[in-house]
Amino acid sequence: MAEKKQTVILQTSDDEQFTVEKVVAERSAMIKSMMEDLGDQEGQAIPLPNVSSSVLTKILEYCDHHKTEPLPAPDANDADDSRRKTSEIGEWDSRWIQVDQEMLFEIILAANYLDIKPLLDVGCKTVANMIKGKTPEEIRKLFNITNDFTPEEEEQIRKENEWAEE
Amino acid sequence: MDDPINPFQVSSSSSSGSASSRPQSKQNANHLLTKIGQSSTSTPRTEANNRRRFGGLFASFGLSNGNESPLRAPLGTPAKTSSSLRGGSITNIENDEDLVPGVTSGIWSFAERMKELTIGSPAMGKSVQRDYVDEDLESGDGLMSLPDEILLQILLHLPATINQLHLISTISTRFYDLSRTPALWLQIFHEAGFELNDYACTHGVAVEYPPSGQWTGNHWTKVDDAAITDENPPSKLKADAEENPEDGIPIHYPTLVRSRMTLQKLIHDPNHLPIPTVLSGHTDAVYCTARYRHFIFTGSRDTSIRIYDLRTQKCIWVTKEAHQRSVLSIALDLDEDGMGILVTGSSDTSIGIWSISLNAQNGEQMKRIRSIQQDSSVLSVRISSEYIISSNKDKSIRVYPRDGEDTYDLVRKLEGHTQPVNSLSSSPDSRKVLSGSGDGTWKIWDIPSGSIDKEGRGGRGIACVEWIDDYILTGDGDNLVKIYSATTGDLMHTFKGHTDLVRSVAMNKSAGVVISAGYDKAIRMWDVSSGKLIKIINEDRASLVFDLHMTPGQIIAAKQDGSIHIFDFTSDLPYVDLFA
Repeated sequence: MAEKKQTVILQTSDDEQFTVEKVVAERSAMIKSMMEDLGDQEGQAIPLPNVSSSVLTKILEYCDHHKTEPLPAPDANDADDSRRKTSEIGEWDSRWIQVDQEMLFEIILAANYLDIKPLLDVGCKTVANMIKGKTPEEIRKLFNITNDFTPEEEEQIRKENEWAEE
Repeated sequence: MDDPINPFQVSSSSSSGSASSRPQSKQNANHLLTKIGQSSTSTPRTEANNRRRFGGLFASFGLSNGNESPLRAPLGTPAKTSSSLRGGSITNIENDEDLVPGVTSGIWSFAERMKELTIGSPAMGKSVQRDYVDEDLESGDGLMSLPDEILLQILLHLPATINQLHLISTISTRFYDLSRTPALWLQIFHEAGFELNDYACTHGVAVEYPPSGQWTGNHWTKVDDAAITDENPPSKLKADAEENPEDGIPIHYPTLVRSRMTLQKLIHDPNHLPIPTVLSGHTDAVYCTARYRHFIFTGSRDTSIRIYDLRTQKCIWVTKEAHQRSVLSIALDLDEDGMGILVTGSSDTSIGIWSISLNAQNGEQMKRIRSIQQDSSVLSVRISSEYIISSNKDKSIRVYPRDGEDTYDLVRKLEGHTQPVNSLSSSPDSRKVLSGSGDGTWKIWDIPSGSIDKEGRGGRGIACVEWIDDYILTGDGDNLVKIYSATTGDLMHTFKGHTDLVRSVAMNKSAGVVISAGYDKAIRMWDVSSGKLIKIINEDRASLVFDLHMTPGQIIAAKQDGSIHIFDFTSDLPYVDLFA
């Protein structure tokens, strides 16, 4: 084992192939379970039709950096909770995730698809941090969201919410 | 965003329920009521995956996890499998099959689609990929291109406050719908330190529609079901309850949170005095009370034991001459179905063990199983999962097997106090027992080994002790109430204000208050975090108070004049019976 690192081939939506160290690819619970299902089929590429090569390149960087950390338990709901509470993003991660919005959302979608929980969390926390402390108008502007409420609806929501404002 | 949904069809208060929300109610009922764990069309694999993915979102906020949790949105609903996962087209699922187009709008339908949303997840294998790939993968639409499931995860990372959630709800209709998700409200509920009682945890089912009624400030006006007319359509809640009469308690989470927060305001408002109701029947001092749901058991100097139903405020059972002398202490352990045992301690020096049935089908029953004769007054009794424990005037604490059949041979005698042991309280795990004695000390005993785990000095003669979570409370002859950490034994606060002996203490953790009363006849409520007096809750101070109980909405006080006073902080808030 030590002399030859086990690898796996990943094929992206734009038909690029990446040869990746197994421990790196296994950060993705989805790839891990696929490898287990497929067995040791040397040389066969795992297709990732939802991930582009540019996003995969970025994500592999993350997986490589974290490859020595223990994998989250598959049914770790409690861990989910504690992870959620510590809303701090690690130093390396926060530098790594400094990307444009488009890439950020691609990363989040891919993390969800590939089932890389800690990464999905980093992504979601990053977006949450962007939302935190902003007014609805600022949030709309930041994410290009259309305010599709009618004035009547806006008024009704305002009324619905006013109980909490002292 | 191409989302034409009117969010108000979902969540506006029922009083303004639009006509369009009515036709679907019947068809929807089944969907809404589907609970986790019920059959679904998905493969086991999908379900396992689903659980993993959403268990955390919907169920792990201090409640039970996983598939069994009723406090999640009903994920088990079969959903259309082909709708787009990306692009927030919340509508395409609604237009499905037999559903009336456009009426099943909102986050609830989102919740129904949870299963479907996981088609983006790995465990689904091949079919996943086909469904997941979307035409506009390349173009993207920023944040709004994320599926609801992920948007929800993002929202769960925001500060869990009402204001933050309200702000989110005003961004757009899609965010409004997302902001109705039970998981977000439950997170707020728990972050605020609130809890649901066991019954609610095991029977609660999240529903989309608020109960029928209307808020006016801190008041909730229930709409009488009899008053339902065409102008005033029946609420979904009603329909749900009828569909699921056995064990489902429909909970509309936004209403639940508002109700609990309103209650908290009322509890802590120094000027809000709860309204007392008086239960009568006993002809002499009531020394002790025990509660099971809406039933309250009382023991008196008149030697009888009574059971009252708090809903009707009537006495539904009397066992006269339960003991030859005063019934000083009472402990109750009933199961889900209202079956179990009652243990009583008396100055006739015996312990009474009674079988109890409050089962609706069998009717109320109370039968003596056995008495254990001792040689001095039994001042306090407790039941744990394995033991019956008594404390005595002879300074000892005695431990008996709980299911002793005919024998009830003494398991252990705990000795160490140098004065009568006035009061007992079990640890949350019931492996330990806390005792308070006239010798001025409290002690924590490890029951299996009989050793003293921890002890402290309370003051001149401890009259009462209470162990709640990590808190130990004592009331003493120095007129003080003290609160300690059960873990460290450190004194956290001393509540000063009583002018005579403190005979009973109680605490409600989620309310953040301690209550105490005794021979000065005033029931005082203290703030646990500040250690300050909030208010004296009773205006009628005619009689000594011997025992207190508190749930968030209610305080029960047993008095020397034979009456039991029930103080309701509110009689009208929705879900008030579900709070712990």
